Amino acid sequence: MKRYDALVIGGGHNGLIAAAYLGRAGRRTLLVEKNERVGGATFSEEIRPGFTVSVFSYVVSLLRPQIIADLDLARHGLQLQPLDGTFTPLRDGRALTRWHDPAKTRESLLRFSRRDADDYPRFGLAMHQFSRAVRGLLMTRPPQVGSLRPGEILGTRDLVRHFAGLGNRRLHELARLMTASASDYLDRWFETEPLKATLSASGIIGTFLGISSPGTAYVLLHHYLGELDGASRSWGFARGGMGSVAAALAGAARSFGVEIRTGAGVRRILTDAGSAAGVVLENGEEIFADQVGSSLDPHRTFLRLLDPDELPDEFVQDIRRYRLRGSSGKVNLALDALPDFTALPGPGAHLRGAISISPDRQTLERAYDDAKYGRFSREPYLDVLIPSLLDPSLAPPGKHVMSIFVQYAPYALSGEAKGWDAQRDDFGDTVIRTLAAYAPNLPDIILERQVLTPLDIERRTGLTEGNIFQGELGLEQLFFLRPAAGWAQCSTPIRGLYLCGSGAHPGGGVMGAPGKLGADAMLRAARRG
Amino acid sequence: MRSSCDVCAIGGGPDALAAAAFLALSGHSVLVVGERGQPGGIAANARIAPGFCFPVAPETMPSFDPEVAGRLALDRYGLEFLDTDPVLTVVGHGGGEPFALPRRPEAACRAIAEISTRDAARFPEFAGELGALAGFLRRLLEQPPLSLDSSFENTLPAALAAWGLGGRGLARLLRVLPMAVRDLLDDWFESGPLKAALAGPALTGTRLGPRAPGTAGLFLHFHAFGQPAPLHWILPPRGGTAAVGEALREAARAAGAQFESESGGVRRILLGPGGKAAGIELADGRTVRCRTVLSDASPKTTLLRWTGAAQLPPEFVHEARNIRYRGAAARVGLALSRLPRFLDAEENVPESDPRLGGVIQIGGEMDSLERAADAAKYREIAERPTVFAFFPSVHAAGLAPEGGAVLAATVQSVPYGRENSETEVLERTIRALGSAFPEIAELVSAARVLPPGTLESGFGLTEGSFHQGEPTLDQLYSLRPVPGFARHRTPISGLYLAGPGTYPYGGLHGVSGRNAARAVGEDLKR
Repeated sequence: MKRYDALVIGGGHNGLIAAAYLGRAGRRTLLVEKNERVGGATFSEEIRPGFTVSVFSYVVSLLRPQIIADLDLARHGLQLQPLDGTFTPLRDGRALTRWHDPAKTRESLLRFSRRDADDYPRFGLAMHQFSRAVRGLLMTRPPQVGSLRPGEILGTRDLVRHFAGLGNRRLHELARLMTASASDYLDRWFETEPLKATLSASGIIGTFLGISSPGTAYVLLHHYLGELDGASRSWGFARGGMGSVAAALAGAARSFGVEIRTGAGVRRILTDAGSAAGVVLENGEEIFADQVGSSLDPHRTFLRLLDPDELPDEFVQDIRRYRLRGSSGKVNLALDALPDFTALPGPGAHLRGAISISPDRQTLERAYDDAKYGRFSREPYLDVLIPSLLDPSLAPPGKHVMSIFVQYAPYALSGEAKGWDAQRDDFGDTVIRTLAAYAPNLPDIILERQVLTPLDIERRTGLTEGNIFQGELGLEQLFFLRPAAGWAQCSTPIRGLYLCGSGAHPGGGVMGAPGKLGADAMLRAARRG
Repeated sequence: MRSSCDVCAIGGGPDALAAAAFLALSGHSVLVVGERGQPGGIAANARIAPGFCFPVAPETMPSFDPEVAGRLALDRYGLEFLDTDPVLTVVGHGGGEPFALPRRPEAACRAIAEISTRDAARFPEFAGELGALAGFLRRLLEQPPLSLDSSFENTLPAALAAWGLGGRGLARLLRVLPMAVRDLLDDWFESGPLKAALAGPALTGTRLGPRAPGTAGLFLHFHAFGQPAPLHWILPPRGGTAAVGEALREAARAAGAQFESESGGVRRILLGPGGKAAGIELADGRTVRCRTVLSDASPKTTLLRWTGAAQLPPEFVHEARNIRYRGAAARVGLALSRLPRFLDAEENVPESDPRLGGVIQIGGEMDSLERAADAAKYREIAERPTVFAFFPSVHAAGLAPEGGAVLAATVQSVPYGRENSETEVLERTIRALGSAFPEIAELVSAARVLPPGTLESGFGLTEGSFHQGEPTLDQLYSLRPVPGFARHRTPISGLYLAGPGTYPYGGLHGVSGRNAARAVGEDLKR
C-alpha cells in the first residue's frame, strides 16, 4: 500500500500552501479535500451563465510576498491587481474617498476637516512604523511564553528584545494600539466621522466585536502591512476571481509533485500510540502517512476528527474554550448595469475600489448591538466590490458582478428567531435595502442574487460557525495563545499531527502564513527524524 | 497653619490621606489640604434630608487593602470591614427568584447547587484558579507598574511571583486579562444569575458591558484587592465607605500630619527655580512652601488645571488631554421610613433578613448587564439600569434616625454629559429597586441623586468617573495615567500623582497612596 511522507487535510489556501511547501522540500505529499474542488473559501463560481463571483473571500489581503515568490505563483497564473481607493458614500449626499494618491485623498478630506487632511499622512506614517515592528511576527513562530525549555526561554527573550528595541515611547504606543478600541484610538487622531467610521470598520471584519470594543484598533495595522509589501500586493484583487488564487496554488503544489484528491472528506485522523498515522476517509478508505497537517479549524480537527480521549484533558478544555463565532455573511449579485450612487453619480474611479457602507460609528455600533442579542444587523456594515470593473471577463459586456461582505450576521440566532434557513431572504433584502439607500437603482438592476448566511458558509466550506478566520481574533486567541497556550507552534499533543490553517498563528485572511509555518514545523520535525 | 512643610498632600481623597499617613510615619512634615473643606474626597457622606445621609463612594469598588489597613492600624481608628453574608443577592429586572451568594465557599456551593449542580461542581476549581491569578496581580500591586527601564531589583518580586504561577498559570493569566468577563464566565458556568453576580460588581463605575474585552481583567483586579479569595471581594466598611476616609484622616493625624481645611482648597501648584514643585497656592490666596506635592485628584485636575499645560512638555500634555474618563454611574441615596421587605420575604421583619446586610444587585442576566451598558455608549440613560444597592444604616447608627433606614445605590449606565437627569435617574432607580423591594416607592421619604455631573462639580471627580480614567487595557498598568509616567512621578520634579487615575484604578483601596508615598520617600532620601 502506498504510504505518504505527509498528508494535508483540507484544500483551502492554507492547506494548498502547506502541501506545496512540503512537496517543494521533496516530501511525498497528498492533499485530501472533501469538496469536489479545491480552494475552500478561496473559490469562484458562476451564479448565472457568464457571471463569475468570488463566493466567499473576495480580496487577497496579505498574501505574503515570500510565498508568492517561493511557490512561483505568477507562473501558475496568479495575477494580482491593486485595489485603489475606498469610497464611503453618506446619506446627506457627501462622500469620502481615499486613494493611493495622497493628493487626491487630501482633496476629499479637506471637504470635511483641514486638521484631518493634515493629520492623515502623519497617521499613515505612524501606522507604517508600527507595522514594521509587527510584520516580523507574522512569519515567526511564537515562543512558548512561560515554558522553561532553554529554546523557548531564548525565544521569549528574543521577543522581549524585539519589543524593547522599539524604545519606551514606541512600545507604549504599540501597547495602546494593541489594546484600545478602534473607535477610541481614532478619536486620538481625527474628527471626521465617516473617516473614523470607515477606518474602524476594518477593525471588526470577521470578528464578533464592535468598533468600540477594546482590542479592535490593532487591525488598523493590517492595512498598512500590505502596503509595506509593495503597493501592488496590498489589498489586491485576483484576476479571474478568488478561484484563480486556488488554481494557482494547486498548480504550484502539483508542480512540486503533490497529489491532490478532491471528494475525499476525512472521517477520522488515525493515531497509533499517541502519534498520527494517517486518516480514514468518509468512504472508509485508510491512508497512511508519517505526518498529518490539518488546515481545518481547531474545533473540527481536535473535537471531530479525533477522540477527546486521545488528547490531554487540559488541551481539550482549551480547545473547547477556543471561540469561533461566525459574525458575517456575504451577498453576491449579478447586475444588469452599474449601481448609481447619489453621492457620486455615474460611473467613475470610485466604483473600482472598495465601497464602504460605514457612514458613522453609531450605525456600526448599533449593528453590533443587534448581533449581541442574536439577530442580524438591521443596518449592517457593508464592504462592497465590483470586480467586473477590474476584470471584464467576470461578466458579459456591459454587465457586472458585485460582492458584498456583510456584518453582522451572527451564526447563533436568538431563541425566538427562526433559523437562518428561514431568514436568508430577509437577510438578503436587508442588505439590498441598506445599500439601496445610497444607490437607489440597485434593486432594479439585480439579475441574480446569491445570499450566504454564516450557516451557508459553514455548510459549504466547513468553517465552524462560518467564522472566516477559524477563530476570533481577540487578544486572548492570538500569537502564543492561538489556538491554545503551549501549542502555538503548529504542533499538537499528537506527535506527527500539525495545524496549518488560520486557527494557528498568525490567524486569518488570505495571507498564507499559517500554511507556510505549518509546513515549516512539519519539515523541521521530519529533519529531526 | 504652617507656611512650609516637606510634603503637601492635596486632592483630599483616600490615597492622599494614606500617602500622608505613610509619609508622616516616616518622619516627614506633611500638610493635607482638602479640596472641599473636608478631606476624604469620595470617601465621605452626602446629606439626603435632615438626619439622613449616605456614603458617596460605591460599596462595590475594589475594597480597601488589608496590608495598607494593617500598616496604618486603621482598626484602631474605627475601620472595620464587614463579612456580610450573603455577600451579594441578585434580582432580575421585573422580579423573579432572587439568588443570594453566600460568602463561605461551602455555603456558596450549596446555594449554587440549587440553580445548577454543574456550576456548583465547577465552582471550587474556578475559585482556586482565578484566586491564584488574582494573587499574582496582588503581588504586582505591591509596587508601581514596571517598565522597560525598571531595575533588576524592582523586577525581581514580579518575576518571582510569575515563577510561582508557573508556565501554565502565566499563559492562563495572559489569556484571561484581555478577555471579556462574559466569555470567561461562559467557560465555566451556565447559570445566568451566578454569572451576573460574579461579573456585575467588577464593572462598577465603568461604561463597559460584560462583552467588552478586558473586563475579565477587571474581574481579576477586583479580586486582587481585599483578600484574594473569591467571595471576599466585597467587604463594606461599617458605617459605609465614608468610614474609610474618617479612619485614614485619624491615622494621618495621629502620625503627625497637619490638616488645612479652611481655605477652600487648592488654586494652583507653584513651581520654583528649575521648574521644580515648590508649594501650593490656596483658594484664599495664601501659599504653602514645600519640597514635594502629592495629589490624588485626577490627572486632568492636577496637571492641566493646577499645574498648567504651559509648564509641561507638549507631548505629555497631549497624552494627559487624551485620557478617557467616561464617568457612567450615579449614586443615589434614599431616605426610607423603614427597611423594605424582599419580594419573596413572607414575614414583616426585614431586620432579620441577612440579605439586607449585603449588596443587592438588580440585573440578573449577562444580557441585562449588557443592554444597560449599551445605553451609555450612546449617551443615553439605561431604561433598566444595573443597580447595586446597600443599606449602610443596617450596620451603623448615625446615618438614619431611629427606625428609619438609608439605601445607597450605585446606578450604572448614567453617562456623563447629560444635564438635569436627576428625576429620570431617580425614577428608573426606584423602578429597578422595585424588582427586589415591591414596596420601596412608598417608603421613600427623601432622595438625593448624584449624577456624574454632580460628582464632578461637588466631589472633584473628572467627568464623574470614580476611577478617574476608564479602566480599559489601553489605560492600565504602565499606560496609566500617561505612558512613561506610571510610577507616580510626573515631568515636574517634586510633583507626584496618586489616586485612582494612576494604577491601580479604584479609589478606595489606598494602594496607590502607599505606592506613591514610597516613591516620594525614595526621592526625599536622595
